[in-house]
Amino acid sequence: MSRYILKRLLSAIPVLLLVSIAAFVLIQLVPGDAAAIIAGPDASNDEVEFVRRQLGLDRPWPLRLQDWIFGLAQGDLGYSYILNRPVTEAILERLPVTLSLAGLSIIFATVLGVALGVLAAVFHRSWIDALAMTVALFGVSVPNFWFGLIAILIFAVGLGWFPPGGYVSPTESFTGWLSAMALPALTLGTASMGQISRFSRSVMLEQLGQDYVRTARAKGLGQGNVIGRHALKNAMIPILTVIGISFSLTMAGAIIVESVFSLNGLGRLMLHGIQRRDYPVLQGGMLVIAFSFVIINLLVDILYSWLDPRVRYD
Amino acid sequence: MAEPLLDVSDLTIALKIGARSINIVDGISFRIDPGGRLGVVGESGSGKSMIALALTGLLPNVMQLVSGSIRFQGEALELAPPARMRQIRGRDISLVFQEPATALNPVFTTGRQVSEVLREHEKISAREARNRTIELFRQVGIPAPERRISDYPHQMSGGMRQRVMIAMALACRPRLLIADEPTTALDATIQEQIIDLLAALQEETGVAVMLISHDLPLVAEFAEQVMVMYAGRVAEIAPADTIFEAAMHPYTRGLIACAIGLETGTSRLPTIEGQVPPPLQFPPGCRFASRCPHAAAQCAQSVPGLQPIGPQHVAACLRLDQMTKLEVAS
Amino acid sequence: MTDLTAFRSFSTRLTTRMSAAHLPLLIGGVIFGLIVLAAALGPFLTPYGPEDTSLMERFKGPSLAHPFGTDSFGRDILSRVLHGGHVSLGIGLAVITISAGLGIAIGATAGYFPRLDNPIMRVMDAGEAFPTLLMAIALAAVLGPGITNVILALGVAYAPRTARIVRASILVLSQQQFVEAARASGAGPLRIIGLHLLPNAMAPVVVQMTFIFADAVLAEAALSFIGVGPPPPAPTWGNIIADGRTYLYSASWITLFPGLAIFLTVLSLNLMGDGLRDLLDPRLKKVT
Repeated sequence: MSRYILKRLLSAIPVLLLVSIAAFVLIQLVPGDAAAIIAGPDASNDEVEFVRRQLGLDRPWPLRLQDWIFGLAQGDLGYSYILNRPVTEAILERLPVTLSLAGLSIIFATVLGVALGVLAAVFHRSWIDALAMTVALFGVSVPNFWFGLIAILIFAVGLGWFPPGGYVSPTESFTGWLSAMALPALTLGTASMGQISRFSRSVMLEQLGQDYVRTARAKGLGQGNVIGRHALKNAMIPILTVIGISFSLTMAGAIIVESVFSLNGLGRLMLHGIQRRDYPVLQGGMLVIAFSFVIINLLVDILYSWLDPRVRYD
Repeated sequence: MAEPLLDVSDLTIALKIGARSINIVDGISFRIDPGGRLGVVGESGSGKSMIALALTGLLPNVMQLVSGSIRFQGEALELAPPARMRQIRGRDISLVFQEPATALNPVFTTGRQVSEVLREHEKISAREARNRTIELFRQVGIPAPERRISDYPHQMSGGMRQRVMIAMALACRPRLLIADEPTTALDATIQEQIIDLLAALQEETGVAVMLISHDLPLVAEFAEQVMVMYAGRVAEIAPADTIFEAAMHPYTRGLIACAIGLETGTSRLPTIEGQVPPPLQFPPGCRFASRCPHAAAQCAQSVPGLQPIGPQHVAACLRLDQMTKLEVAS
Repeated sequence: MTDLTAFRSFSTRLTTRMSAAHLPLLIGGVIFGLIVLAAALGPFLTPYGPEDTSLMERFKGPSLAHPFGTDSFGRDILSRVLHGGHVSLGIGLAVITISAGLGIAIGATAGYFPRLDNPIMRVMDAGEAFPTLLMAIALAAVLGPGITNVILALGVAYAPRTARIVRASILVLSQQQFVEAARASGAGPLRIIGLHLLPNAMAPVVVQMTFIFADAVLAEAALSFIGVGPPPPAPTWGNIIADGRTYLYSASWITLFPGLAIFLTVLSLNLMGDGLRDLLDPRLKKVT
């Protein structure tokens, strides 16, 4: 088992490396004088030259790539001359907001998505199936930023149940945090919920037709035990992959949903980075999101081995 | 005569396709005495597996029990509510399926899957269930049971997996064990071991066994009575020890010819021409008529009923009276 | 008599089974067709241009003259939504063309040449490590806002998805006998891929293209909304919603209608994708 995890850890390294290079290449694509852009619109000539030397933009690209990778290995994502602080520091400050948002929406999407998918499969071709799949189709079809705005209009402005935006730290007030995150998490998780429930349904349908399900019934086990334990544990193995993919969807979607709900997270930091052409921040943010995706996939693979003994012992 | 353990009469199971319904199992009657061994023989499509599922209330949704009665220890199972059937399944009647590779849940240990039956039907502690599971593993001949109970299905051979299935089936000391093609997916040598094991366990525990298979010699060796099925109907029921000599139905004789051909390894295997017609094409008269070498005009018209031939021996053929002569002539 | 009723029940059965796949396809197709038609005929359907301002008509709620109301410049929302449809659907179409072209080329190469398979697919892995939307945001941010850049960014971002599907089909198909036969008769790789493999691999690609179209419409709207899409005053659906956001409480119709347009478009494409998948992919049909 530990050997399997080690193998997965090692195989993640080339992907991380490629991702890092991709983020590096991205900045090389910026048209015009990168030093002038990164120094900011108000920088003097001397300042631009200083930035150029600092960033090593006067040096050949293989050396710069090398610096970038070595910097990354030490957690250094570069320096933002527009924010006037290290990118790592700026991102770490914003990360809790984005992680709260992404985490809560994935929990929402998983719980509701798997529940709907299982119900739809168990009551295949009944009105429950139709209703669950309609909800799922709505989830994958609705634009989240619009859904968020409408949710604010109805639940925050109209009914006053939740605040229309802003972040509350859970250490400050846990209920305040939950209340502040409710609408954003719902908005961000809706698409993943739809994806997960559509997928769960087809996986569950397949599992319910398996021989071992008939065996479980032949043993005299109840419906809950047969579906909830025997079939669901098998179904969760492929469903986990989709949850992992949904997480990446969620991290990217956070950029948009944070903007809708005025949450000062990583997404909004990056959005400002785009608007102010703060490329180091943008590059750092992209990298953090891509890394988180690789790490989530790694976690998914480890969970696999926990759920599926065939993986564990191979 | 003693009260039978299981008394099935006029059992009819229909496959529903839209508004149509076709009798997949058509008016079947048989009985099993306590501790008895009944063998059921038929090709795939003969409806033999459907009987097993009907007896345990596990018929798929597209199948429907149309008529007939199932008396198990005097109780009418065809009327039993689902909750009652659940109590009976795994405790009083248990099943062993064909493919142990897929019949076991791949993500749970084999030991857990056995102890689960115990914990479902008998309110016992996890520890006691574990001990009983180890004992059951030993009983079905799994070596080092203390260790093997933590094995997953994929870590076991096909024969071992089928032993686990049998342990699972016998866990609650049922009165009736239904084994549906328990050896078909296994190697020839393992097949024999499993049948021997079933026979030994049957004598040891006194459980009645209904062995379902397409393999007539295997069934005849194991069972006391053999019921031959064709396209959802009983062709013949005969005592196992005399069936090879006394078989009267043309279909049974065809099966015997095939089996003997296999044994002696003649260069040209005798076969029964054609195959079981699909349910939608069941003919109105005798369903075997189209493949029967002795079929006459009347066979296409009327359905043959079961005729007594000897003690414990019945057959459903319109031309029974001609059968012995025909056989001598050819 | 009995034969006739049997036949009738059989035929209703057949139609119900067919409609299981056809109904979503039909509903989706009709909605999508109406949207395309409305977007195409947009200029003739309303008397206003999408960028005609009118100070007298600012913030008018939905009425007969302005069914979707007007915005802060007195522009007719219906005209803008119809015109936005023109832009959004055009972008979607261009995106699926690019991603299909790239994806087929990459996927076929990886699937047909075993030596190239691993390196190509690892690059696809890295590409997919960036969520599509994030990649599009980054590319659009670097290249600058504009319709062409959005198309380019999304087209490239969705290419790995198509490539993966094409590769999988090609891998299976290359093992088949008719390919062996073609190879034995001296056909070159281009000929085998183009003539024998791709035509047989297209069904899942078509299904995927429908879903990518849906995703591209959503992504383009999101990009416009956060300001890295086609720049205003171009009336894309995302731009109209971004405009309306400021007046969400006082003039919610500005936000409401373009959002509904996106929702209906994406919904119809998803329905069509579901229907096509059930129809074209026999493996999945068995499951559902």
